Amino acid sequence: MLRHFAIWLGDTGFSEWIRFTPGAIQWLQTIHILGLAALIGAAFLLDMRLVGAVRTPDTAAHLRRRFLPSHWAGFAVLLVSGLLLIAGEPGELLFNTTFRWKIAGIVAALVLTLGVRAALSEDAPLSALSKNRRAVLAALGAGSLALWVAIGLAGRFIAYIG
Amino acid sequence: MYETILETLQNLPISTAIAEAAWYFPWLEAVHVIAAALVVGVIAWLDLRLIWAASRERAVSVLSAEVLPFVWGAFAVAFITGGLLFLSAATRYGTNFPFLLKMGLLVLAGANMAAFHALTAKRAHEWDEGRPPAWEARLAGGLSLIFWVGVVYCGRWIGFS
Repeated sequence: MLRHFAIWLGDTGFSEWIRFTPGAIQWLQTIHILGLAALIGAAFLLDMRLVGAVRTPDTAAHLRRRFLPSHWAGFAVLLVSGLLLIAGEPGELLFNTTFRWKIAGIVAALVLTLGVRAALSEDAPLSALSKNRRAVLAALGAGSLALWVAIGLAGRFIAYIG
Repeated sequence: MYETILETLQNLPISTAIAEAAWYFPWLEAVHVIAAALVVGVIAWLDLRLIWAASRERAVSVLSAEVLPFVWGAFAVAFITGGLLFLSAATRYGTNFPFLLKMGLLVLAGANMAAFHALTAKRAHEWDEGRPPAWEARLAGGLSLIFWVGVVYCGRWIGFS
């Protein structure tokens, strides 16, 4: 089923256009990395606060409004450029084990990010939250950052591990 | 002279170890990409504030203090891993146009940052908070964004050249 889809997609004019246009894959990969930069930059600055490595007087709700929009914008860029890269090279990516791990990691990281979003609902500084809430936020923040870094690493290893 | 230096660097024990081992290069490359993404993703917060496109409620001085330590930390990791990658094939990278362009853009990004801190930031009290930065500051922010996007593009271009 997936193999038929990959063959069909690879034979479309759109896929060939991406694959054979000089510089297209290169530009898509650049945009993909810039999306990762936007996402991981916002995730890093937020998660440093959630794990307590950076003290902040900002309220939980303010942290959510300040950092998560850039996080989602970066993810949108990653998603669109990633889908175009898959369209350009479906055979190379869809059957690559590292790519499949990367997709599984993205799903897990999105779940954790939604958890962070839900946990940053209160209009009170992080220091005023209950000890349990702070522990949950720290675990979600550390887990989400670790996963996004692992996803970035996996992205490079696609070229080395089939 | 230049080629002799490149050959000497490429023949160092650490260079041949990276070139010959199966997993040193991929790991160094993967960590390099993550560190570079972190540099760009974090410094963009300051650049976007300087061009008055984001974080308007936060003083430039406060935002600088928040982000620059992380930018320097990530840059140190990118610099070390990038240096080790270069050593593994110095004769190839040292004459590779996208690599040389990337180095040029890095120098320009550094010079832009140094000029901002040495000249423009001295009058920052006039526009630090609640108003658009002076045109010199906005120019520095815009140039920084352009240089860093160029660095990322050249990084990918190296892989295709």
